Amino acid sequence: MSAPSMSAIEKLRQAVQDRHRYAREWKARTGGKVVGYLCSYVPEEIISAAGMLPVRVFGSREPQDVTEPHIASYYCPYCRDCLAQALLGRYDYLDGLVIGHSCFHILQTFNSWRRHVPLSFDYHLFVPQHVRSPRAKPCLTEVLVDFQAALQEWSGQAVTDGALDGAIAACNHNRRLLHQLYQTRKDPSPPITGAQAMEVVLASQVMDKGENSQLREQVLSELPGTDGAGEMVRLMVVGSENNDVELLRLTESLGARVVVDDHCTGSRYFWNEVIPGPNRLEAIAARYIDRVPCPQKDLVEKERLPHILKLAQGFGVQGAILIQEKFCDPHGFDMPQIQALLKANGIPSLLLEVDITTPAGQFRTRLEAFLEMLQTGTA
Amino acid sequence: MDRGCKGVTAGGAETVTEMRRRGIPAMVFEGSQADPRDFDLAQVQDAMDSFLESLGLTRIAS
Repeated sequence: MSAPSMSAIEKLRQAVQDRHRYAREWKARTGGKVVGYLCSYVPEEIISAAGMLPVRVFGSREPQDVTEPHIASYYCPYCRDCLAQALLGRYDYLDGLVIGHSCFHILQTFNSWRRHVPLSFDYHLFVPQHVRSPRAKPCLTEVLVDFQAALQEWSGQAVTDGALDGAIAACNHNRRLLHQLYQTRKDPSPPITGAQAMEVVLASQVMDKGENSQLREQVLSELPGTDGAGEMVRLMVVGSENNDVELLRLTESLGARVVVDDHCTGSRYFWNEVIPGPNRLEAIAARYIDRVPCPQKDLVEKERLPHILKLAQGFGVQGAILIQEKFCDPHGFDMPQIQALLKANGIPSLLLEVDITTPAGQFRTRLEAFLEMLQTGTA
Repeated sequence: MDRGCKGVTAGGAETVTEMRRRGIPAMVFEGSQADPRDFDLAQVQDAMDSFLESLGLTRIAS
């Protein structure tokens, strides 16, 4: 049986592929502001509570030649790709732009963007780098107080506790639906491909949460019990910001099934919820501090490593593809440790250094060899 | 521009772009404080000569 053809999944895929059109239509329909954000440490809840649509900025994965005067060529291709989208006018519908302080590569994207592209609002939201410090939550809570005030001043409307409650509930519901979908991938014959799952998670980051959740519920109800993928090699993908659906499609076309990931555009985006409390901003801050950390914020404890192993074991993966975005140092530092940890637990891995402009097809031979080694037990 | 410490070069490209926009000639060369092999002296000297020439200047010592 082939992979399911589901209208809800198709709609989510369409929303990702035509994300600019989706945002423009949302804006025309609601009259609301659209706020782009760089980095998954930006609390969508507060932007939503302000009546705005938060949309995560993604690259286009196309060659470009417009960022050289702004970002050094040895900064990561993803941050250059995101800036290129702004310089090329593809995000010209954005009313505002927010960055959660993380690595200086994406920070350069933010700084160049606001320097060269007109925006009526831009905000550098500081997020503590040492998230396990006992001072991290109070610090981020205070930052969010300022952020809320800035949004209120910009929009001229109050962000009420009731609106925050609604946004927290909507985001949490969305996260639970994603968890339910991921749980189905533990099945010996997962009913959804890794490429489809990636598109579903990406859609959540560019769509209205309520509309997205409706489609997500439909996806869950439409999932078949099996698609005959039981004989395929079960893989995990690990890496940084990644919307490279084509690489997953290629991998899965070679006899594999990607069953779980550790990407901030994937599982780390939704893995934990906001635990509601009387102080809404404190509750939101706790969610972002307690989440599975980005390697940039995990330099001391290295909490992400055991999390990756737990995912790999929980989803029964046979091998892992480690996707190293070229020039991404925080992830680069972790890759050898991740490889060693997985190897020590009987999980071979393949490290691919990728550039956004690298056609996925160039990795075909290495992927085929890796899968053959996994199938023959020689990896 | 120091490839060996990307943080140091944050904003470097924008600085050069802004200088040129204001009519201030600027050239960029790359190297790495972390790895001397990542520095091509001859190439940088050639680039420097070209830059000086464009300003009507000549290098008087190597």
